[in-house]
Amino acid sequence: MLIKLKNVNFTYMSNTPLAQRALENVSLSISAGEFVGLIGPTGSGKSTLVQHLNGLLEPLEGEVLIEGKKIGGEISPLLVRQKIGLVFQFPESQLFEETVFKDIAFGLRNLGYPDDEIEGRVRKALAMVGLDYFEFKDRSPFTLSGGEMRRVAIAGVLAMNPSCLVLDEPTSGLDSIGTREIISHLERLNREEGLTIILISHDMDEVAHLASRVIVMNEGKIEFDDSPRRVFSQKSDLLKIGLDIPQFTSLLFMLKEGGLDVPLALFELNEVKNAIVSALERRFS
Amino acid sequence: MIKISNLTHAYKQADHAIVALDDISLDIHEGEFIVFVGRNGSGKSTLAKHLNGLLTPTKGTVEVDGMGTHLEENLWKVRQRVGMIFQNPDNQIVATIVEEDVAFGPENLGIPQGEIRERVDDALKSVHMLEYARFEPHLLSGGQKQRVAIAGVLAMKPKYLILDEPTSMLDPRGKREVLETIRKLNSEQGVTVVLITHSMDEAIYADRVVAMDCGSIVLDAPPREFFDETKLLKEIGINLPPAALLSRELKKESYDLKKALSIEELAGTLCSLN
Repeated sequence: MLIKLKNVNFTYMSNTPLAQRALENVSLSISAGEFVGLIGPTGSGKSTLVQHLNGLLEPLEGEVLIEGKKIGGEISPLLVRQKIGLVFQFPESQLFEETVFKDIAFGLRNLGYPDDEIEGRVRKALAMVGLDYFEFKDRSPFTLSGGEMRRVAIAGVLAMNPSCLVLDEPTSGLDSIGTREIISHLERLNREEGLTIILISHDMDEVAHLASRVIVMNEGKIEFDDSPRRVFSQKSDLLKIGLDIPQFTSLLFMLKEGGLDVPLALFELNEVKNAIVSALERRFS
Repeated sequence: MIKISNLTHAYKQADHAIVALDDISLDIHEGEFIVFVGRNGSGKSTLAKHLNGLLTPTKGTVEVDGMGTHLEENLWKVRQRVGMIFQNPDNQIVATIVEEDVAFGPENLGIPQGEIRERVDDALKSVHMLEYARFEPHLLSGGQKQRVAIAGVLAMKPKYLILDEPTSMLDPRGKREVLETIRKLNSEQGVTVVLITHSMDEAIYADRVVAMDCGSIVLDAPPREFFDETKLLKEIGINLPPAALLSRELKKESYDLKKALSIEELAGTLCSLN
């Protein structure tokens, strides 16, 4: 098991009058190679949860195990941070070096890697996000488009060769082209490189399309943890906690209420079209 | 009316200039709901900053109710009439209590105390946040904070409200709340709305959708006609709203559908087929 949380409790500013409970008895396991979508309303504990995965926060109670080893005891937070790469919201705001190469190499240099290994890793990281090494290595990060800047920031995390990539809203604020670029690379990294991915998103369509498992958080607790089809069939529960269902799923719910015999939890254009066509054919035959 | 005439904006770099807006002309009429779309770097946000004089033209003019933004002496009045809302609500809230934050603008305008009270209550009421008047902003959700930021602008009684991706950092409920608030301000209170967004399902509610690309306006039409221009939209990287995409696919299967823009509309059409 790559990641295991056992009965994790966390409270911000505990033992003060301002104490705020953020995680309540959270247990979950994530295996290598999974693509997990993590959704929940603002303040539901998603960011607190992922900061536990790489030792940025320590549980008040319970434990977090990475590859079976307890963070802080059997494995140091420093090593955990190389294994679990965290990409924050708007990561491009953390670019600071003169060139793309130097920016991606920054973490590796701090860890004392030799020059030739750094070059190899930077090359590979850029390739993983679909940017050409020779075209981009000497450019200033600040001359890149929004989508490119964000991919460089992700490459900086990939260069550490993590087993798991955690991304907090990686497409927010990007246009449709930038969004598509990021999404297609995440899909490929998961499918072809076997990289485990945990994606936090407020975009239900994006999560339905990408994830093979969806975890729903609400008020510090895990509300659902199941396949996208099962989770997004829970329309009323999701709406009640301030979430939503994918747009095509909404359409299918409306069609069903309107008397068309369609399945509910479909997300992709073609499968939705086919389901509607066959429901209409049945109705007219 | 906001009248934009031959507006060019160049950002000066060390050794050259980058043209962000290239000879733009556009009228924004009172009571309209206009949505601006376009890829990152197309000039939308630069244009928005011209509408209340945060930027001033390199060439051309922007006039708000006849007042040019290039004249320093007009800026105070221009900014009372044109309110701006940005992406991140956390950067727009200055006070430690919701109602004090909303009062900040009118206080600076030197409005008498009694009227400030009235304006703050009215503004909070119109974004459905009156019951949170005494709350500390950090206890609110993203959507609630963004609505407080909108109330802060409304308390200045602007005629025009410019919103630059106001929902992009919000969760689904926050998005719904903010979008509903904006639509109501426009339809019930007659506030002119200019909304910049990447989300095409927000564009379908506009009177006009304006697409920008490389600093120019490439399309300006009501949503139904706008989303008919599929070839041009594809070239400039703009997706169709999901309902329009699906209704186009169904048409290919020779179903006689009129094009739908929203999911509700498409559901209605499909259920009434016979």
